[in-house]
Amino acid sequence: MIIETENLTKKFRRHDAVEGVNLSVPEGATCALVGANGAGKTTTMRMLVDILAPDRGTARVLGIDSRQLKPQDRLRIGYLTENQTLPERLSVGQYLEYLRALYPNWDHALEKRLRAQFELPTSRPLGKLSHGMRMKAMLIGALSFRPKLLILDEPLSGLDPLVRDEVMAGILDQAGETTILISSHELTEIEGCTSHVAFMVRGRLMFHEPIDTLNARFREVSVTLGQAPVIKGLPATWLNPQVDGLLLRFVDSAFAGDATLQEQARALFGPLQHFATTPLSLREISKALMRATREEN
Amino acid sequence: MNRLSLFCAMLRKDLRLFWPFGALISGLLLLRQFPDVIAQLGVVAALMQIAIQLGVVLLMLVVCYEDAVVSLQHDWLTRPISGVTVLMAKVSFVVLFILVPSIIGALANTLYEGGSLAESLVRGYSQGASGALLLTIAIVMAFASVTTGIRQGIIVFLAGIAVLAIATLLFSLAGGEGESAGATGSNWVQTLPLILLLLAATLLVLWVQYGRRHTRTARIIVAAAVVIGGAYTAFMSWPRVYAVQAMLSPDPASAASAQVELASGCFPVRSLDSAGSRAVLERFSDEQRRLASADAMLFSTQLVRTGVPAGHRVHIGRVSIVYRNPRGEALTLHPGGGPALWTTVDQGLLAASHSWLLSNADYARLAATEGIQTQIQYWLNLLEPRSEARFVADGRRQYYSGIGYCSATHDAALKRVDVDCYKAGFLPAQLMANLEGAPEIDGRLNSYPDYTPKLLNFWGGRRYSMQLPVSSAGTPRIRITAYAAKAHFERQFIVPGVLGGAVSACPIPQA
Repeated sequence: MIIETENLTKKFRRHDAVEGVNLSVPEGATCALVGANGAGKTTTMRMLVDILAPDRGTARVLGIDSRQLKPQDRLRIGYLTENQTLPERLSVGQYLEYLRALYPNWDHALEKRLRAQFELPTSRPLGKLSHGMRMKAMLIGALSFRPKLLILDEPLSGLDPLVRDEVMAGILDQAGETTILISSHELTEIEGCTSHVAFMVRGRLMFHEPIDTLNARFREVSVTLGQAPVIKGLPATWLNPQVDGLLLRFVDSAFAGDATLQEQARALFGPLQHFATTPLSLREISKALMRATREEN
Repeated sequence: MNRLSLFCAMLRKDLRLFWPFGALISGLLLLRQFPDVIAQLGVVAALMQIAIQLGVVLLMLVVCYEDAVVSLQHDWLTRPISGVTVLMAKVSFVVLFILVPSIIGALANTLYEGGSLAESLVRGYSQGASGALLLTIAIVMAFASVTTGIRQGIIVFLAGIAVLAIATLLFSLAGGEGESAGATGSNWVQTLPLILLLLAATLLVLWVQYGRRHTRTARIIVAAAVVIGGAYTAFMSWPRVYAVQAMLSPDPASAASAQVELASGCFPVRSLDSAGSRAVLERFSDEQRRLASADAMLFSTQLVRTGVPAGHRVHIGRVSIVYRNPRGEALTLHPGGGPALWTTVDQGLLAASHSWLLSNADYARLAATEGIQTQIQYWLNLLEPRSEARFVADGRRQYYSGIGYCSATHDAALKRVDVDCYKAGFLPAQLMANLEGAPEIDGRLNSYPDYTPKLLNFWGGRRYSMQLPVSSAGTPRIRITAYAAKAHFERQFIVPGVLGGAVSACPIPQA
């Protein structure tokens, strides 16, 4: 495992920012860390790169306890966050020159290619770049040494669709040879490159699994019943049930096939007039989970 | 990638970011080492001094905050660079733009003043890299390492000033004022441990922050240092300061060789409106005069050295008067605790007088106390000559062992000789200049003594200036004597009454 956390916990005063997180990310995976604002994604990532120290538990990154990460270990870890503080008065060129000197494994050709691809004005100070340009500069700084692990905290936040695509193209370039842990609310954009998904709610990790498994177990279900249904006593895996006359709609989070689900529905409501299931995108799954969590509260 | 190249990359980045500001501060620091040039600026000079100090602090803060330690967002935190390397780069920047210009400025000014290259080098490092500047650098860098940015830095700084002001006010309200060792020569007992404490705390904070990034621990260290420092300052009253000083006497037994007596008879008394009182009165502070009121009187006491080994001097560190009733209880007067005192700069030779200011109301109360006694306590220091230099006052500057670089210039028009010496490291307690062959009492001392033990006085340097009046027209020969502390001891005299004798024998003279 490239990332492995055990009971990772962090409190800020009395607030449990992250609590008992056990997360494993295998080598080569692109893991999307998903959750609502304040779910603990950023705090988890900061603990992985030793910006924050956990109160309890451990995080192992590239097989090394994150608290013991040495400068040479950081040659293999790229980290990017939307609110990173950069040397604002350095120009893009000077910033990259500074970074180049820090990494013996810096890939000049890749840097050059990304600079051309992102069309960055190299002489402009970082502080005078637009948000999108700034993210691109940071991305070059995180990708050009070909890290073994790339941790990206909201890299697409606040970017226009065009820049988002460009940034994603840059990230996708690395997928495969680099293990990526990415948190983002732009799930449509990252779905294409995601191999694993971890979902956090209020500091806790609800699940983490391969995206295929996730896609397989989530379905949007619409059922037309013979009579108006009573939605009490529904299986806990049926999320966000909504009734509109004879129509019942919900998201099944433990989908095991149409036949099994129909059987379940019949057992609960009697004969079904109509039954349909639709696969969900990562964005829709995420929305369903977030809504279900909010309703639980 | 080795540490050196990482360090170079970090330093190069800081140079790129801050060289204009750094160059400005460097220029001003360089200029500051030329007092003759600064003096020509008049009022602007004072403003410039303030601007330089603020600029130096600001430069250090912005350089440190550029790669802040107390941060979750700064770029360096996830780069392959250790905190120690970052610290080294920051220190190097500060050395380059603050310390080096100061050293070069001091060196250049000494050369400009006609000093030799050797003296210039000595003054360059000891004056340019003074202990005060080094301590300031360490404190500011430690401060920057436990705060997040300029805004928080300013808020914490102002809060610190407010806390200090409140603590000082509470301390003075609790009767703690008037305890400063001031110009006694023993004030190092109060200041040096504080300096060492600050230095240890700042180095520890820098190590904890840049080595471990443990902000809470670092802030606890800062708070502990402030509390310990404050407690130490409050605890070290003058008697305790002196007790420490006396404990470190190089030759305590030699105190027996110094004999001093209180001049016998009634203390000379004058009313405030009498002739000659005005000049003496002006030496008292406004507060002292206010406490004594308009109908107060001046009286003086005199200590006479009746036996001091040849060439030695007995310097009075401090003197106090306490009035006691027959049961030995001290009688409290105004909030100062005793009559106000004006100390003279004492030659340490034959006799020394002290003037005291006492309100008539206090006198009346004391005089009415049956069997009252006056206890006069002297805290004394026996100084022995350690080194001597004799030379002609022809302006030539030379090095003399134990005294440092010295020159004397004869100004025939003003009828005086200006003596100027500079000593770096292991400073003497005091220097005295005299015309060769003149009696010792005619000698002139450099301002206040300093009894810091030699081993703790190794860093920095001090300039000694003395002026000798001369009457002859020829170029005089000068003798410089460097004194070292030999023993620190106390003498106490108890006399009946309030003014040196029984109240009936020594009453207030009628106007």
